[in-house]
Order: sequence, then structure tokens, then C-alpha cells
Amino acid sequence: MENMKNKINKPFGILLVEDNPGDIRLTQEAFKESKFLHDLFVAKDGEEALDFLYQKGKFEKAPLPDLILLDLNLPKKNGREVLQEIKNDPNMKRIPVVILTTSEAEEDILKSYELHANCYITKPVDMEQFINVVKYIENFWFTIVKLT
Amino acid sequence: MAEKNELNEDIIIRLQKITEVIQSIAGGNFTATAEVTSNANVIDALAAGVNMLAEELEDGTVGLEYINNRIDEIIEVVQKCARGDYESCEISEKNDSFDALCMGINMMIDDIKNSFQKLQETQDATLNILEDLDRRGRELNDLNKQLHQEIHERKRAEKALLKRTHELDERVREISCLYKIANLFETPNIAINELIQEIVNLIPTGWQYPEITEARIIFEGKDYKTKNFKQTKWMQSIKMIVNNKKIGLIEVCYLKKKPKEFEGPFLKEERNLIDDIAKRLSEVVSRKRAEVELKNTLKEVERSNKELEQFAYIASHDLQEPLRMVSSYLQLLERRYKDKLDSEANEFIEFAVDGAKRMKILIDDLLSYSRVTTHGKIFETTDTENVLNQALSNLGLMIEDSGAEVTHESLPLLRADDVQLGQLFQNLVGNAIKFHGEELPKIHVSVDKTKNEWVFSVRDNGIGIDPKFSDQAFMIFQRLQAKEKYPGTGIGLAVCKRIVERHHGKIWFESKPGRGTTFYFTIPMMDKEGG
Repeated sequence: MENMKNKINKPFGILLVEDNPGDIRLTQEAFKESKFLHDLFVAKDGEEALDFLYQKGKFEKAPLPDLILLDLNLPKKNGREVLQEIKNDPNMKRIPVVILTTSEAEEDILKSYELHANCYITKPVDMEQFINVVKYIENFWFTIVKLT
Repeated sequence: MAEKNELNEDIIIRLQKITEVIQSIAGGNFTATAEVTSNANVIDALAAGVNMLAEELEDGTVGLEYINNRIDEIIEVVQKCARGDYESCEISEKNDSFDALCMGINMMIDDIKNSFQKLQETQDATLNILEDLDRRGRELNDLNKQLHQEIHERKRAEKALLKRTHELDERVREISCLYKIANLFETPNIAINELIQEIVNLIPTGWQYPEITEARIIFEGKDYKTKNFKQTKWMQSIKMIVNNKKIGLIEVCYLKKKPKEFEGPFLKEERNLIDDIAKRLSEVVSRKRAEVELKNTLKEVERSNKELEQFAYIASHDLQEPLRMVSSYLQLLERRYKDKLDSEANEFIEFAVDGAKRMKILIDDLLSYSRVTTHGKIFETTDTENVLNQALSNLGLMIEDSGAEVTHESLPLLRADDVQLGQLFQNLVGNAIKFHGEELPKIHVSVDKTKNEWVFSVRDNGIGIDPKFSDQAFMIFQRLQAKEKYPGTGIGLAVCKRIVERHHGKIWFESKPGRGTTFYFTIPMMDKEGG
């Protein structure tokens, strides 16, 4: 029990890999409305995301996140490459990755690439859906906690 | 022959002897006699007669006068015989000593007569033979003449044959030239330039004197010619014409006068040949041009199709992002500042958000419509019953909520894109439930097999569709019902039509408004499904 409390008190680390400032802000706003303890980190391109995960440069002290929200259309290194590297790294491959897609159609195409993402989420068109996504992540977090 | 001569000599000697006896009788000496042999021939009879006469005279049995008369009579007959008058040439026997002589003379005359007759016959026979010989000679002559005629005829025929053979050689040359050209026409993917140059090179082989024949084709301002081409006074030319428009010119020249000339510089056949080549080449060139145009058009269509796909992608991705920004931030505004805004402002925000949502749905629908052709799977053997059951399970909640009863016959295996076939069933059954009437929806899926296709039907007891909308119903974003009562963008049937068409089938419906609708679609059978 002591152990679990400890875990609950520790903020849930989320890495958002997204280049669109509008989406970054929206995500931040949606998480602001949620009550659970979290740290939302942002990487604006694929390289930055990998630097964060490998704790390189300015991310030297960055913690390994509990969840990655990954957009696919990114500058420098695209989302697919980032995902591949995460899944090939023994330390990181356990981190759940949620792919953010723009449409259900795109989601289908991505599935056909057989990328080993844990989950696909179509970017919501309105705020309420966004809040639902955050709630979904919240539930996800509780599940993780219960499992550990 | 010698024997006969000997015999004759013997006869002559004996006759001389008989004559001597007769002369001695005439001299009054009746003692001489002629020898009578045992041969018992005419001479012996004569001799015996003379001997008898001499004896009778010796004995004085007959008088001299009588004898003289008899001798006269005998002499007359003998003379008559000597003249060749054999008729009634006989000495009468008078029962006297002359009878033997008479008999002998008669016998001799008979002999002579016979011999003469034989001679006559031999002469006749000889004449016949001569006549025969003459006739055969004439016949031979005729035959000879005939033979000469035949030889002449044969020589003439040989000459004609030689001429024909020569002409045939000419035709063979012309035909093989045409044949080679025809083969060139069939060469796949041959460029027009290459084709024309090859034909120019082939043309001399079809003419009578290939070694002095040169050709040139002028087409689209370009010259295609054989190595030593130059215009000479022995030239024929023809225009290439398509749709009454001159598109080119063919020229054939002899570099020098032909070795032999029967008619003009060019044969009738050569004039036909150049005609043929011009005609065929014109056809092929215009066909090739059409092919190139078609290819370009196809390329253009392909390009514009790709552009459309690109557009669909832009619509789905790049347009959705700003759209999302608009609606999300409007909502954020609403959430954070609702209390600070008046109800009108909130209403405006609501309209804006609703518009953005609808636009997203439209964009998604458009995308799914375009994806039928761009993201289809390869056709595989598909169990349509499984596919239908999967579609029904996807519609599970809708079926449950509406209380619909969906039944189906046993459905066949066929070759199809299973995902699309599932979408097709889902759209049709979904529509059947959505547009239900006052009764609980009852839907039945069945299939019929015709000679070469499967005809599926989805029958419902819903509100029905006015048959005048039979075409409109399948158009994209075409709605036939009020949006308030039956929401949706009007994409469902358009997608169905696209799916069926991708499977080379047809889709249509039969309906009586208020009584229900039956949608039909066909999927052609593959060869091996036939049995």
C-alpha cells in the first residue's frame, strides 16, 4: 500500500510529440481541466522527441515518460521513425505510445504499416472530445497504477 | 524355181516332140509316136491323143478331111485361148481319136485359165496392198502434220508459261513486299518515324528492278528516303490522304531506264502497289496518331485522378487541421468564458461549432468514397455469408435499438474485396433500418444465380423510395429525405455504387413508396465459380 501511494503521488509523465502550436496548446488546456497529477512535456519534432527520451543535451535531466502521445507528421524525423526507434529500444519499448491521427482513413492506412503502436486516436474535432481523450488517458493511468 | 524351169524345159521338149509327131503325121508318116509318162498330166494326155491319131491314120479309121476339120476346130479354140478369151473355150469331144487331144487341150486351157485367174487374183491383191500402202502413207502424212502442229503449240505454251512464271515472280515480289510492310505495321510500340523509314527501305524490293529503284516518303515535313534516292524522269508518286487531307507523299524512282519495257516506266501492278502502300500507311499512321492521343488522354486522366486523390488527402488532412482549430478553440472559448458572454454570443459559437462538425463529417465521407477505388484490396475468395454476419454484428446496436429482424438465405463463396463487400451490406442493411416505416423493420437478404452472375437483394418494409429517384439516389451527397428526420450526408449509396462498380457489377432498386424497397446488386461470376 505504501508503495502504491508513492506511485500515485508521483506525477504521471506524458511526452507530447507535436509540431502544431494549436494542438499543443489544446492538449495542454485539456489536461489543465483534469484533476490527476501529471507532467506534460512537449517535443516539437522527431529529433527533439528522441533527445528527450535518450536524455540528451538540454533534456539531460528529463524523466522517462509513462506515456507518449505521438503525431505522425513531424519535421526532421517523422512519427513512424520515432516509433520504430522506441519499439527497438529495450528500455523504452514498454512505454505505451498513442498515435494521434487526423482522420479514421489515415488510421486505417497506418494500421496497414503494422507499426506496433498501442493505440490510435483520431484528433478530436471539438473540445469535448478532447476532454474525453484526457479522461481516457486518466483511466489508462489508473489501470497502469493498479497493475504495478 | 529351178525345178519349175526344169519342168518347163521338160514340157517344152515334150511339146516339141509332140509337134514333131504332128508334123510327121501331116507329112503322111503315121509311124512316129510321142512318149507318154506315168505322170498322167496334160502333156501325157496330149501325147496319148497324138499317138492315137497317128495310129488311126495308119489304120485308116478316119479320113483326112475329117481330120482337117477337127484340127481346124482345135486350132480355132487354141487361137481363141491365145487371145485370152477363155469363155466357152472348150473343144467338144466327138468320140473319136481327137478326144484325147481335145481333153488334153481342154485341160491345158483350164490350167491356163486357172493360172490366169490366179494371176488376176494376185494382181488384185497387189493392187489392194498398194492402195493400202497409199492410204497409210497419207495417214502418216496427216500424223506428221499434226505432230508439227502440236510441237508448235507446245512451244507457244512454253513461252506463255515462261511469261506467266515471270509475271508470277513479279507478283510474289510485290506481295512479299506488302507482307513485310504489313508485318512492320503490326510491330508493337514502333515509333512512327522508325516505321516510315523501314517502309521506305522495303519499297524497292516490291518493284521489278530493285537494284535501280529508290523511294522517298515525305511526312510531316520530314524526308524519309533510301540511300541513293534522287528524282528522275522515271518516277511515280502518290499522296497519302486521311479524311480528305493530304498528310504525306510517296515517290518511287528508277535511277535509269528499265532494261526491258513492255508498258510505261511502271507496271500496272506497281501502280497498284504504291497505291496500297499509301493507303495502308495513311491508315496506320492515323491510327498510331490516335493511339498516341489516346495514350496522352489516358495519361491526362491518370494525372487528374492522382490530383483528385491528392485533393482528397488535402481535404482529409490539411483542411481538417484548421477546421479543428476553429471548432476546438471556439469551444474552449465557450467553456472558459460562457459566464462572461451573453446568450446570443453563445448561440453564434454553437452554430460555428456545428458547422465545423458537419464539415468534418463531409470531409470524412468524401474520403471514404474516394478510398473505394484508391485503397481497395485484391479480390479473393470470400464467404459472403461470413461477410454479411460481420456487417450485421457491426450494426448490432442499431439492430437492437430498432428492433429490426434481419434474415438471410445461405450465401455463396465468390471472389471479392471482403472489406468492401462488408461495407456494401452494412450500408444497405443500415439504410433499410434507418428508413423504416411504422412497423418494426424486417429485412431479408437473398441471392439468385444467373448464367454468369450472382444477383443479391436486400429487401425491407421501410418507407420506400420514389422510383423517379432511381439515378439520383446513388449520387454523392444526394439526400432524398429531410435532414432533420433522417440525418446523414447522403454518401452511403454512392459508396455502394462505387463498390459494386469496382466489382464489375450493377446496383439498382425497386420500390413502392410506403411499402418497402429492394436493393439489387450483381457480382459477376468467375469462370471457376460457374459449376
